[in-house]
Amino acid sequence: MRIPYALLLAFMFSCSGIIAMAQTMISGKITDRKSNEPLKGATVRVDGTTMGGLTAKDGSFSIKVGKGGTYKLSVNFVGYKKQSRTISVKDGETASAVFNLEADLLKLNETVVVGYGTTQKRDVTGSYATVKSEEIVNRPAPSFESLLQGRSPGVQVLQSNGMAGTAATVRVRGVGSISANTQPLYVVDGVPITTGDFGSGSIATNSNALSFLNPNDIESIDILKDAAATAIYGSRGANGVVLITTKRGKLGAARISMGVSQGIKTEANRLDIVDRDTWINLFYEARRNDVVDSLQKLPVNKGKSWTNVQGMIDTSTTWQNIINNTRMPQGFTRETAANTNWLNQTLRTGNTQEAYLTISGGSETTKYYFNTTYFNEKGFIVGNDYQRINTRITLDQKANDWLDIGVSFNANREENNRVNSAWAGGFGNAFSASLPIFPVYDSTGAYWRPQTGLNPVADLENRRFLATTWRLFGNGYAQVNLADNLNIRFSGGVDFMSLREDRFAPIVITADPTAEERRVQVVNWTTNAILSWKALDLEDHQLTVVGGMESQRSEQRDLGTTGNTFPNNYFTTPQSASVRNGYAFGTEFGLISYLARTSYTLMDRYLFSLSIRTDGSSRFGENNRYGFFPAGSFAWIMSNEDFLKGNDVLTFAKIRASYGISGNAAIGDFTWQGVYSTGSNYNGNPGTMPGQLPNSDLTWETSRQLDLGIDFGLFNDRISGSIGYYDRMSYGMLLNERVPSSSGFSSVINNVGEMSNTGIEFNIRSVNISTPEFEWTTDFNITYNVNKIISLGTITNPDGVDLGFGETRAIVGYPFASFFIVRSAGVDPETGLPVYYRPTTVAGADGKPIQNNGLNGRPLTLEEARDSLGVPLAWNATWRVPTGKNYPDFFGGITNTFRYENFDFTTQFVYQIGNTIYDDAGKRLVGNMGFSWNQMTKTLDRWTEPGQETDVPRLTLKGNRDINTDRFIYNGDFLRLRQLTIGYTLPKSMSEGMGFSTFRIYLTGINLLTFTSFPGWDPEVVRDHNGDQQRNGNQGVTYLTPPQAQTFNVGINVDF
Amino acid sequence: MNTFLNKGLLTIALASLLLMSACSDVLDVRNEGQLSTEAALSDARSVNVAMSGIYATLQGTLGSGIPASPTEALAGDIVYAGSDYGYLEIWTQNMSLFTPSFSGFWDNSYRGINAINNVIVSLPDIKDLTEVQKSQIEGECKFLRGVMTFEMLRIWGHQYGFKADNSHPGVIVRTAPTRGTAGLAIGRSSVEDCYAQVISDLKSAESLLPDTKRDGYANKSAAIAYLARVYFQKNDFTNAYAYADQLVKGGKFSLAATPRDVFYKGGNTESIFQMALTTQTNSFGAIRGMYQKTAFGEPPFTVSPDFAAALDASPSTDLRKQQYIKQSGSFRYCTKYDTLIANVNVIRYAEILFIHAEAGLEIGKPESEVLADVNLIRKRANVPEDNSTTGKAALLDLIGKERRLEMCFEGDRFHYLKRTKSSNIRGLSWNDNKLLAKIPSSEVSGNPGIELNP
Repeated sequence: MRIPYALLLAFMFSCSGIIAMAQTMISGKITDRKSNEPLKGATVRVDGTTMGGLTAKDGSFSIKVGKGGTYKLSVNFVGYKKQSRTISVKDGETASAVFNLEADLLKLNETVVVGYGTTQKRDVTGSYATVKSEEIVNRPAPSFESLLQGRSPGVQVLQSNGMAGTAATVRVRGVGSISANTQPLYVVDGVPITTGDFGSGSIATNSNALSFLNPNDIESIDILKDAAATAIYGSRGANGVVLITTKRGKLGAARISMGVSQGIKTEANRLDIVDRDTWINLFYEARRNDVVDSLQKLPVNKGKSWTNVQGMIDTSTTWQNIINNTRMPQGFTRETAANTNWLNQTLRTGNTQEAYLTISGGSETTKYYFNTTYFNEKGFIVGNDYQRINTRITLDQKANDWLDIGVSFNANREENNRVNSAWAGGFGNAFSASLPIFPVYDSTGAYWRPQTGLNPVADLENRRFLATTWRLFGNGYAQVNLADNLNIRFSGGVDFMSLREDRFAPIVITADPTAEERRVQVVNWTTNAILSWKALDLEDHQLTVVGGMESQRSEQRDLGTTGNTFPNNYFTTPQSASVRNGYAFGTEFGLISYLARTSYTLMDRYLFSLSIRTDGSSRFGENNRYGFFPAGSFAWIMSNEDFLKGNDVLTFAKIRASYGISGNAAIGDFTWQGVYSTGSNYNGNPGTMPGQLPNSDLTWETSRQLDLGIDFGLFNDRISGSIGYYDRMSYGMLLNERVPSSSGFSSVINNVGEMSNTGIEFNIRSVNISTPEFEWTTDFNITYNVNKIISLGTITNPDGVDLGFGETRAIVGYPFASFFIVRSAGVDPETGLPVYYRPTTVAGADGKPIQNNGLNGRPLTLEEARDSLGVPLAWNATWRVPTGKNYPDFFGGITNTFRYENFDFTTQFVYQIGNTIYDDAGKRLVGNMGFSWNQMTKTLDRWTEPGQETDVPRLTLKGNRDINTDRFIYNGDFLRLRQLTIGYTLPKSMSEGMGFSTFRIYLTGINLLTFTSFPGWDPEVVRDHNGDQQRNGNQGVTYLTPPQAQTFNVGINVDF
Repeated sequence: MNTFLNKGLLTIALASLLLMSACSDVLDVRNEGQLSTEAALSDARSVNVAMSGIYATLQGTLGSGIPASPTEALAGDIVYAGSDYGYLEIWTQNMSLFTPSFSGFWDNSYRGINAINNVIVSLPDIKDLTEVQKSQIEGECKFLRGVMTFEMLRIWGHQYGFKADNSHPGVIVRTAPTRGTAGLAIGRSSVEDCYAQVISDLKSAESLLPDTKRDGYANKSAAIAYLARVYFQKNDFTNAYAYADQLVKGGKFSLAATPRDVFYKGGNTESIFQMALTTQTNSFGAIRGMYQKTAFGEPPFTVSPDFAAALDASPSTDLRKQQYIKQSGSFRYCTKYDTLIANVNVIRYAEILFIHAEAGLEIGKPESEVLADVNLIRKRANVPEDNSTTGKAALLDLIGKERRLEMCFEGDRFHYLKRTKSSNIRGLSWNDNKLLAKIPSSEVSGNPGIELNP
């Protein structure tokens, strides 16, 4: 199919052949140094001329050089080190040259996708992280983003939980905002896509607009981290940019790939909770404690010890009867209590299936790619399922010698059976309010229904919440090659999402069955024109210029209706309801941008780059409609200097520095406007009220970032890596500043907050063993990040800004998402009551009282832990102090890849160090019998007799222990075997005999091992919330949040 | 050459296509759910809708028993048995910056006042309103602003007369709409100035408003009644009497047939200004929740022994013993709000009669006239008329006792005790700082220089 290049070249240079009748040629062969295999498609070029070409299938090349002389030949091939050699040839003769290319472990000439263009890895001056297709395919994961975990330094990824269809949080170089969205911008083939949670709330799990992405379609993911890389994305670059390049057709015969996989899925860890008998014993112990306590307070028992009174009770039948006749919750007694393991009733072994088919190929002029993938998951929580079908087709056509056009189109359908989890009930209820003494079914076989609360089995099995998403995503381009070194590319893309939620709560879970149907439509389109000009291409000077404009618009429309009062139990949609209530919502934004970048390379070792972007956005106040985002960077490839050339140890060294400004425009569509809102109705008439104070100066949040880095290769690049330092300052962060409430408003949103993220990133790749039979590579990365709130504008209250529940806060001088909480001083050994630190108040510099951190961190003495009357100090909200934080100091991953003959073996560990986890449910799950919840086994450490040293207080059915203290803040460190894969590829001879070019079978396990001291379900946890501020602050907080999934998968991939 | 032309043409075509799409007002977006202030107050209909919003804010406070029920916790006729920390703060006479019912009252009232000021400023430019309609709207605005300011003044300011020149701090007087962030932090006006503002607003309302009665909306009589209440609270008996007398002589109002009718029946002759409640905007639950006995046990507010004694002292025929109070086991509770939904009285004729009687007595009207007012109340309650009491002190005592029973739990008692300079408001003197609500944190954090209540 392909025209042999030699022929092509021969034709091209036939002019020179006319002069010298006898052809003067250089021909030869390019091979791989290690395997001696021929290399097809390598570039051979005669330096200083335009002569050259590509090698043929057998690695051969042949260049007519016109006349005899000495020529310098350079050979370049992706993945191999460049080689140059001087060849002499006489007139009319053919000289031969054989090049054995050495693999370039650093892949310096590999293409890196940067904003609005590509470059070679060698020429990169900013900070990028690349994740390749092979690192993410064939791995079952709840979300595409979670596959990025542990792959790149500076990129922290946490999957919210293991439920089907849920999202992960991705944070590039720390969290960069308090109230605005902090997720990176996702750009698929140049089109910024719709992301976020469009599901209706109240079931405690967020939905994920990114879930439509099919890992099988992804060629590579480039994560832009520093300002040099992100500033070209202007007002949306501050949180980093994730550039997703999808697969497209390649030159060659049709290639067909297919694969299937099957997996089973369970919870990664199970919470230790007490069984029925233990719970009953704890209940009656609490009751006995209460009796002892009240008796001890009687004047007649004055002076008697706890043990004394307890002895008295234990020997008194009267008292024993009083205690034993106490009814347990919902009126159960020891005799009538059921014995239910609610976790067994609500968890199950789930499974996954995936199948895909890819057909791709192309000629010189037409390239095509087609993929369809089916993915089905039965979640590990009863009732939770997910299904996805992706279809994608791309076509690239070289219309003529100056015009390239192409399109790609994706149609995806997702179906998610969502269930109540966490605080919303359902699964969250199964280990909290659902006690082991409660039955699942009553005596008639119907679901048992508590007087208050719910039966989680009934809820999970019968509540309908079916979310169906259609996602149509298409884009196209036309590239006009105005000259060899100048082209202009016009492209446009549409991202259409239609979400339909079909909900119904039937009679078995509610007295008033309710149905709801909700439609969400998000349409988002982008057009741009980008001019690329290679202005200079000389040996020592290369200059490229990119410039263009882009516009984007996004619209969201919601429409829904709820219905009540159904004719009978079989009508379950609003259509049949007698009472219907509709609602509607709409929002939109527009963005128009101008951008330019210029890069200059001097003498192959000094690289300069400068980029600017101007963004105008409807989200910005009318006084600040346009933002300007510049960045500059410089890199020095030190190893190309003479003094390092030929150095055996330091084989590659590049020093990078960049500085620039980018923005975060995820500030809400109408935040700046002064508006009247509806809803203040009076006497049946609609009413409006001023709803928001205008702020015409409102702008994007800004991030300025300094980045310094060294990329290195040692020992012939057997060891390579990068070390980097960043200093990222987010300022102009949006905060609700208080205004006097007598103005009619409580706050106005202003650009006032400042927060810094400073960090060190390190990654290293070591090719430990590399023989034809055995290869072993280790990748390790670690990031150290320090976050600190510098300013909250006029917000000066000591507890700062609330980020959600569990007292997670932003406080000046402390890391974002610190806890502001009363510190527990343990349990008073004499009484078994909890005691707390009471911070002493000291005068600050300005004379106002400030709180120190709980007696300067010294534990209370027993005397201090009691008041002057000897009563243990009770909890008091004014004793809260900042303590703990939920973002880690260190995080990263370790990946080992082995290949022995046809076996491959991969392990990936991910880890996180230095964060704390706040278990907001701990206050009810550990030692708080008064709340009538099930208990974690930690409760068994409770205080039982005077003198006992423990950290779980005396049990009681009375009193209010439902309070936030640092007793429920745990060390959040974890190391997790995220992935383990064993694969076997059939030897070529065998697979080709079967008609396949490749045949691989593999076994993958996800989340097989977790090392942590966290006693809850899972240390990898994000408490789900609606609203950006809550989501920013609630990673590392749990309130009955489900665990991650553990998966075993077996699959087959074949190519032919 | 040809190719060159083609490339150029195509490039220009594509570029203009792009520019057309980009320039078609990409940045011009529509905020569907909300309106700009200009649009929200642009014509008659939008102004009427904004007026509903203003009434709705008042409904959120006066219509849901705020500040009435929290003041009852201060006044001593109830015992608080609930566990709400806000009410506990009030009940324990230890109010803070955060005491929710009062801080919410402050925020909500000022939200309403800002909305009022917006309407007043926009009113002259509304083209499709007649002058008569404009007067009516302006009158309602002034009335509501006067009411809100006055009701706040009684909570945050010491009683008129606390200082001889009444220079002690009242509340913040706001008469301009908030349309930007500059200059929002202003201080409190003196009690003297606050009264002047309230009276001026109410007098404008009186002159602007027609006297058509619409339940739930302001009219001339409501303004007159409120003027009587305001003057009476500052112990200006001459004016209080004059305004009360207008209503007494006017013959538009009379006591409802039975004590409970005014609470349960719409369109009765006794209510002068009510908050209209419909099931859709039911703020009634809040006030009901404080008093109503439920399946879960006793309500948060039960009758104090002191009030029970006062009630028991009344003759057994007193209908109010059944219609205002109920016994349940060991406790008694108020039943004025013991229904699912009803309009909430803001000011009613019975109070005007008490003002008429007491102010009349103070300015030397005949004792028979004073007794006639009181006897109207007694008769309606099926209590024998009192025609024997004589002498100012005895009559004041009679009016006070009758007023306590009739106006119980409506938020009247606290202000009565302060006005009469009682030395025993649950153990505190009328001028005790503990009886003042604290300036809420929502104000202080945006207005750090504001003078705080001690």
